[in-house]
Amino acid sequence: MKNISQISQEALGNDYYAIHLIGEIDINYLPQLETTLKPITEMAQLKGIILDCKKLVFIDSKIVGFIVYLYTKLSRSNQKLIIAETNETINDIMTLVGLSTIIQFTPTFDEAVKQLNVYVTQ
Amino acid sequence: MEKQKIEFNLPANLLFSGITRCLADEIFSYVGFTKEWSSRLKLVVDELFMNAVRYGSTQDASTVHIVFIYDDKEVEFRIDDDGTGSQKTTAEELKARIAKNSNHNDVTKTSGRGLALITQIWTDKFNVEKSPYGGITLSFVKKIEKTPPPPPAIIQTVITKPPTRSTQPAVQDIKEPVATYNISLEGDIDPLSIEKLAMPVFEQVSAMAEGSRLILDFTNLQYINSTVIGHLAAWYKEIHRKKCQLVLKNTSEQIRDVLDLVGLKKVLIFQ
Repeated sequence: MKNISQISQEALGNDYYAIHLIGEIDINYLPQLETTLKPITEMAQLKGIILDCKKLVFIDSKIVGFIVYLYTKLSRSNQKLIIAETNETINDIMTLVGLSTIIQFTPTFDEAVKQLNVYVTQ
Repeated sequence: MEKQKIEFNLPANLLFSGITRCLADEIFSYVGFTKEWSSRLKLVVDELFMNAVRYGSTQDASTVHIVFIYDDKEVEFRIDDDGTGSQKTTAEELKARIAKNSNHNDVTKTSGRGLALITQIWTDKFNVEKSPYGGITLSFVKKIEKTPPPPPAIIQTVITKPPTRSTQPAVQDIKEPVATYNISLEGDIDPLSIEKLAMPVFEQVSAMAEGSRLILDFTNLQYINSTVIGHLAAWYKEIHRKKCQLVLKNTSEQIRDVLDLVGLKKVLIFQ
């Protein structure tokens, strides 16, 4: 069975980052997710991160736990986290565990960019 | 449909969680579950598989035993481990831990709660027992659902402001409130019963006259979750609009820490 799951990062201007989550991101992808985000969260100039979930089809409780950890870490430094474009399945689990009450969700990635007021140099 | 049984063994390795989810999804869809229910049950299977492999088995040395039994009325899932994992625990101990975690529905504490929360909310019957293979058998039964599930019983209050930038000061200057109301918060804060706890406060907040004070007594509530935070933010907003005062009495240190984290500590008054 070919696994097409993928985690990638994208700089949005100098101060913001997008993390694109694609496919089924489960506990097996946790090390990669941590490795991707560690240097980003250590940047002094970081102002916010968007988790792009447009092509995300599955997450397990370990990834939910990591998102909570990420939110807590960013909040303590007054940095933002926005979760963008979750499908019904992802939204279901995020809502059930209460994430939708503390983390900002946007229906589209563009809306998340707009919320962060990101100015991307073309 | 006659009862059908699919039984197979897999090496204890989380790399096989994808295959297990894929098969579970196929079975749940085939027997008639809606797409939404299949997705939910797939997640339950994934949690149980992860639990058996991580805590009940030795990676690659052990085998986990998986069984699906289904007909046109219900589906049953069972998974057995050999009990050689890092966490030596009995079925009774695990049952107790699951019950404890399901009562402590704290969004900042995810370890173990996935298992506790979703298996109890999304299945009809969840069981933990001693396995003939040496470890623990985790199983659930679910009646086939042919209509989509209702949304989770959680109010989706989104705190859109940055958590540490709350700017509205608390109404501190009410020397002699028009009236003072006391409500003691008691009961469970799990998704199914939290509305019962919150409803008296909602009603009181709606009925309050300008200049009055509401004291919420947290003596019997030692922890809160994100849903309570959402409610508190909504109550505070309404109370502030009415130029009233919201006072939190006897909050535990843990509760104050959480409120500090989300920025509410700065705008609430504590007693």
